[in-house]
Amino acid sequence: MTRPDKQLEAARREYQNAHYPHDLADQLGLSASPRRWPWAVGLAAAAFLIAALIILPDSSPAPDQAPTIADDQPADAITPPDAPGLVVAPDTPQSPRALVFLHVPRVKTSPSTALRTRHPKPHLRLLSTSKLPSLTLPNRRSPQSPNSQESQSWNASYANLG
Amino acid sequence: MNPIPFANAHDPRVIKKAQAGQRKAQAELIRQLQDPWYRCCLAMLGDTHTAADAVQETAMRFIQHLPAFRGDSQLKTWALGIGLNVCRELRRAQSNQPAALIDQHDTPHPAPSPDARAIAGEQRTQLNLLLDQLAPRQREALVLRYFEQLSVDQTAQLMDCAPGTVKATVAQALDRLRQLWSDPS
Repeated sequence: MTRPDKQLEAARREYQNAHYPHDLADQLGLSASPRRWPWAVGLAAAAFLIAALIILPDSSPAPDQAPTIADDQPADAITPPDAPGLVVAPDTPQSPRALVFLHVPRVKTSPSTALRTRHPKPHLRLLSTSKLPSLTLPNRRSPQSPNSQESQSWNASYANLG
Repeated sequence: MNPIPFANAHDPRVIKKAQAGQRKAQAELIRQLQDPWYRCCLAMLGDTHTAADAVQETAMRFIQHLPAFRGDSQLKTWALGIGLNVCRELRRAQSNQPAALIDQHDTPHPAPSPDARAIAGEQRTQLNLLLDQLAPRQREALVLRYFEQLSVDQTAQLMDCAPGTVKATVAQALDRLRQLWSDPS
């Protein structure tokens, strides 16, 4: 090997022995451990959702869904609504009636108390619609109601106004 | 620091993970590529500080453009191409604005240790002063083909020329060095 070739070979060895003096991945922030806090936030959110599902009651019916009862259904067999209100039975002139749920105690649904608490019985009162003076029920009118005496007198008074 | 064998850089699973943004895979690729980048940049630029800056810039561009890597070439070739472009830009900037670059390099770096100064002085006296004798294209061809031991096709791809041009340029560079060493005067 000639002298220039030896020098060239020495230069190549020197070239290949050069190393970057630092950890480049560290300098760029690539080797840092990922942040843990997103996991903690996700865990806390999941725990909150689970707790909310357990504690909050979810069995209340929608307000527009009025419960119905059969005409011959006994009052004790009627499932009470979750909120106080009025339940109107199919009305006939022979037996007008309405069920008024005056108070329905809230059922505790906590898992610790649900097993020990007996389902409270709602306080029911069976009332006749004649005892509810301010209550007007549209379906109480009979098919002959437009020809009734009350309707005829009202129509006459209206005609007098004109 | 122990150099990591470069063979693992061709692991397609690591490349896929790095392309998907997994930091651990990106760090693994960066650690495998940092020495080839540094050697190439040092040979092209001739200064350790400038080479270190070029390596960091190259690594950032590598991470940025890694999702666009399609695997048409080897990862090392593609990565060295990024480093080569950074070196060309720095050399162009050095030739245009030398004073600004000197200020830029003096300010952010702490004073090098005596060992680093000795290593830098040795590199400048033996390798970089040798490469300073060559034209830029001859230096690129010699570094990629002879020192980095890329194939002729890979070197031609990086230099954007024909393989025959690479062979001729490398031969001219070696003849020039032999001539200088045989007749120093």
